[in-house]
Amino acid sequence: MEGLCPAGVENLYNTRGKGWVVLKLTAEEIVKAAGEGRVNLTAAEEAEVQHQSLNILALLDAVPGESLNEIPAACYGHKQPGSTRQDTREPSLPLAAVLHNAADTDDYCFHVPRIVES
Amino acid sequence: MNYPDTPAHQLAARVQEKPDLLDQMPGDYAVLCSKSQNLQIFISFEPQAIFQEVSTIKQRLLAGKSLPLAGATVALGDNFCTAGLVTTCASRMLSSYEPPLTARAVDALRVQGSVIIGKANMEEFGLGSTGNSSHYGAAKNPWDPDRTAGCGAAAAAATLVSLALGTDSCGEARQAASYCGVLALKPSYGRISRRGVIEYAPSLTQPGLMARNTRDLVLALEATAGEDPGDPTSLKLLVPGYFSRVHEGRKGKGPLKVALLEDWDAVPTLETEVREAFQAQLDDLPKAGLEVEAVSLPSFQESSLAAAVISAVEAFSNLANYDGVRFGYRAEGPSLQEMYTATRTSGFSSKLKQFITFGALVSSEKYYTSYFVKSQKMRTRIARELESCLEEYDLVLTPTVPFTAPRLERPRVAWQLPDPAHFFTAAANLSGLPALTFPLLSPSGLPVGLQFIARFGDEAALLKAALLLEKKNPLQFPQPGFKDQGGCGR
Repeated sequence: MEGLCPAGVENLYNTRGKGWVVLKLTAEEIVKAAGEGRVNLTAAEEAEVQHQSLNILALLDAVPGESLNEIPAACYGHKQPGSTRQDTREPSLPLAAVLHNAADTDDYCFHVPRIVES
Repeated sequence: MNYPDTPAHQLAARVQEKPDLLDQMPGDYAVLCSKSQNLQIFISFEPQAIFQEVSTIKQRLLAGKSLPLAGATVALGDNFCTAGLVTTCASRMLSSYEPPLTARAVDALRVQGSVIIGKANMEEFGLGSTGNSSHYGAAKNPWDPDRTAGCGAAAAAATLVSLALGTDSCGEARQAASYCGVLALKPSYGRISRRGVIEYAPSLTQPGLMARNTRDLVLALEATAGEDPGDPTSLKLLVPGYFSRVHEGRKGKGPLKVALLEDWDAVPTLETEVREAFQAQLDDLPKAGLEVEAVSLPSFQESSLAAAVISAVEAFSNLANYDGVRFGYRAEGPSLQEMYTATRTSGFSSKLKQFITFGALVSSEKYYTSYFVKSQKMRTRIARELESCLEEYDLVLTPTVPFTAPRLERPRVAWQLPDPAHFFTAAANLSGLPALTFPLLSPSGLPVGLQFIARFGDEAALLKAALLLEKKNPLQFPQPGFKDQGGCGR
């Protein structure tokens, strides 16, 4: 596998036989993705995600896409005929056990953080 | 009797005959585990729980039950749920989480007479094997405490337990076994129930078994394999009697045919230590009864790429429920949304937050088809290529990891995409095929691993190959904290 990319907002790399391509991955995209994942990153972490993402996306671009045109995408590695089970009705776990880690309760209420939306 | 040094299969035979031998176990283990505290192998270790488990087993033995794993000691990766015992996934997020159920694989081991010694340290949520994301500090390698151990493999290597369970999503259990010098088996996807296993990438993650010898691994697989109605991905395939399969002759089939990955030594991160140990073993394989031919598998080198993208997208989705409302740890915030974010920001490690961010990025509309769907197609191609190869050969052979256990003080490269440790291991997870790592020693005396991959459902071929190698390579292990005692005891 060739073409490890240097760190940078904008990155040049050579895809096999397709000339030079520009891959842009902006800091704003990283911040937006972190927001989707509901995490805050430090500036150093954002830069690292950007660097690592550029590396791997460039390596993936180097895999010729045409060779995959006729190949189906797979969610699982091995489909074993008849291996999926039928739906079955089973007894529930005890309520107390299931709610053991839930928010604190007070008679009929759960204690959840106060929501103050602006 | 010395519990730690006695293989599980021998221990079971003795304990079955004399159940009173179990009486000394809880005390012995309390001493042993406290001696090895410097290695940070266990997150939790509860002598009282061990005492209760031992009492139960003894009663069953005295009642005439036959228990193939009687008294066998087990370390559980701390992402295997245990009802009544905290299950942390080595994360601050679950530092107080007590699951309402016990993982099916754990129950299966207990039914056969095993004793759970403790919950083993690991990477947070099982993501990787570099040792830098556990909330409880890195597990240290018994061969060299300056190096990572990955996960529960260290407990087996340090002769603290006979067996260990850990998860294997992109090869983590096999990598840890390679770093620590023990065997590890990742069975076919669905062969061992995933119920009660907290995972980050459901289509890839499976329970992996680790042991210090092949016979113990066979017993552990026989105990844990089988259909589980509680796991929708559980296989309905009949479980063969592994013990008889492994020991039966080839009956006119000739030696096991092994396909060696042709360009195994062209990997840029391959260390000389691994190259030399693997090459020396290659030269010896025909004497062990394995017939080896080099085979080209052009897509194999893409497997760590595809696995990185697929596992990140699955982690982004699968870890979304840790929001501070339903599980353990919670940070405060002025609004619900901010409470979610504050909880996840302080509850997850830096490495996991970055990985989730990459998963979110690749899940976005701009990148989804070009990278995620492409990775899923690569997954199909890799699986097809391996399956096609395995129509002609019994096994595919590669090194397990291109390098020896990484040093813990290495500059804090918290993570890398793709993870170079996954180069040889991820293909088996993508394809769902069973794989096994067998321990070798490098010229300087550090453990490295040799990996076999087999046809779907054919774990017996892996175990048979391991047994053949074990006859030629007697396995040796360090003593816990050996460095402090002035030697590794080999």
